[in-house]
Amino acid sequence: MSERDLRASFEEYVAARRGALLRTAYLLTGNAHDAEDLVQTALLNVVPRWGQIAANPEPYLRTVLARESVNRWRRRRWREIHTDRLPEAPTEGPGADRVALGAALARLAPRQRAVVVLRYYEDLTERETAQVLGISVGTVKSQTHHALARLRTLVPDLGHDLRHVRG
Amino acid sequence: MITLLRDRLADLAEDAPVGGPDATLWVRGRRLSRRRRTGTAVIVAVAVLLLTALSTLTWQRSQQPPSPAGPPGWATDALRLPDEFFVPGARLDGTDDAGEIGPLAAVLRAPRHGEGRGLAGISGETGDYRFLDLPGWVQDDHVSLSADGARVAYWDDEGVAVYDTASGAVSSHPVASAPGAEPEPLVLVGDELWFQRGGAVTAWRIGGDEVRTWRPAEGPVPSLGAATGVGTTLVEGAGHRMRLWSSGRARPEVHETRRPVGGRIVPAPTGRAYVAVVDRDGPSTGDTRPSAVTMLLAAGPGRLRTPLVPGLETNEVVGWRDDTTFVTFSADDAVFSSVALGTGSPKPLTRLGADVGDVDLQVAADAWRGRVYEAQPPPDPWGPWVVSGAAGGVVVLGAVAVVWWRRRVRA
Repeated sequence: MSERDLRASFEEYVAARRGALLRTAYLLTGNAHDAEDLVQTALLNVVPRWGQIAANPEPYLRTVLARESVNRWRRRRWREIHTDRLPEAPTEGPGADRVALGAALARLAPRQRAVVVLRYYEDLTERETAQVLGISVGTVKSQTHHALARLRTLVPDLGHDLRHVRG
Repeated sequence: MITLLRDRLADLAEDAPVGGPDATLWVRGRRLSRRRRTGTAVIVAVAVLLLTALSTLTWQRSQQPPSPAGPPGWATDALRLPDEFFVPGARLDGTDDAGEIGPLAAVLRAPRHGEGRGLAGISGETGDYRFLDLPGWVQDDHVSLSADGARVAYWDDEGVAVYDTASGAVSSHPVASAPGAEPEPLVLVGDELWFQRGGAVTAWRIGGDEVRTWRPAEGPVPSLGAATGVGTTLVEGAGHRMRLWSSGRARPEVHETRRPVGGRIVPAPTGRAYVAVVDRDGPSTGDTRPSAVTMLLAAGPGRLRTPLVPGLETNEVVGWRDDTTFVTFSADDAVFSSVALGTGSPKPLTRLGADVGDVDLQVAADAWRGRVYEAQPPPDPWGPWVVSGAAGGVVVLGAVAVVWWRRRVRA
């Protein structure tokens, strides 16, 4: 495939899938600006190897997004101040559920958050999730278990829903 | 109502920014890739350069300096004298691994890896340094280097031994009596080794049988502490007496001196003249200040004239450069100087290197008469852990730099 064809294929993919990537990145980061930056970084990284993965770029991009989000969180953790209290959020209205879940996700450890997003938003299996994050299936199971338990605590109204979710 | 976590997540994801085409991504991605490759290549090149420099330095430190070239007509078998003595590195080669280095200009003690202290020899022909692997060597005891640098005598586990510096062969001689509390001296004189054990002194013809033993109960005994030799004669003395011993006689030839002498009495190659420092305070004071130097010249049967060498004071007389020039050692500046008998003016000949401390340097008598060459520091090889640690450090730093660069670089 020529350089021109590769570029056309890449730009076609970006136009079609950038929105989906941003949604996943938003769930992973909890921040619109970070999500855009994460997706941009992932796409820039994918350009040199587009020739090899153009047929199925999704797994590679998903891996870059998930791992980079975890790494970024670790790098910036030291300079951020944490609090045990969730920020004030609307308790009623159409945005209340989103805010509560977003705040609860933000309280999860980065890998737990990535596991939740990959397992329950991207619908990956435990094995696929393990491959994406570069960890064992056992670790995926334990991280899932702890993440869901934490979510039940942080967002009580999720408790009923999560009884239907295997963790 | 949202009832499943997946739906709640999908709902939350609706807050994500809206996507769309971005025509600059491909160009920026290519640029980023080029920058990463360039930076990585630079880091790898620097790491390779450092590793190359490290291996070159490691190799250089383990190599002997070039052999000193003798002047035209200079006998190749004559001992040569370095213009400076160095302490070799603790990982210098030993004779067991690297072989013998032939007649030695000097020997000295130096720290040796894994063995505390070692005895290093300096080749009188090539200037090479090498640790002498002396079987059974008792490290803290005396050693003696022969006048021609061909033999090293030492105490071993069972007695005395003599190491041949050319062949590596060792002749040993068991000594029955138990060693004393203090290290006991030994001196090579010609083909004989004179050694002291338990108050008695024995002359042993190397490789053969004992020649003679002098015991205190039977008469005078040679004092080997500051003895020298010329031909087959052992020379020692103190105060107003100089004694010449031969293994063929039970008693020494005693010469009275008008001035008291201290330290070593050093015979000229001809054996007809001697020099020594004057002992101004007597033998018991241990005075180490520079002192005048006197010649000891025959003045009749059993009598020696002791004219002073004009204007000279020094710590020690160590050898003769030729029939009219002797060699002194000045402790203050660690310099060996040649001094003409007639004038007494010293001329620097060779010196101990800056970091040379108590090395018990012994220079072969013949080497004092040798041509002086410009000496190079001996090898100072690094230990394998130092080399592998440094190489590993470069590789790790390079890897960290690559990772750091690839994360930091922006399109």
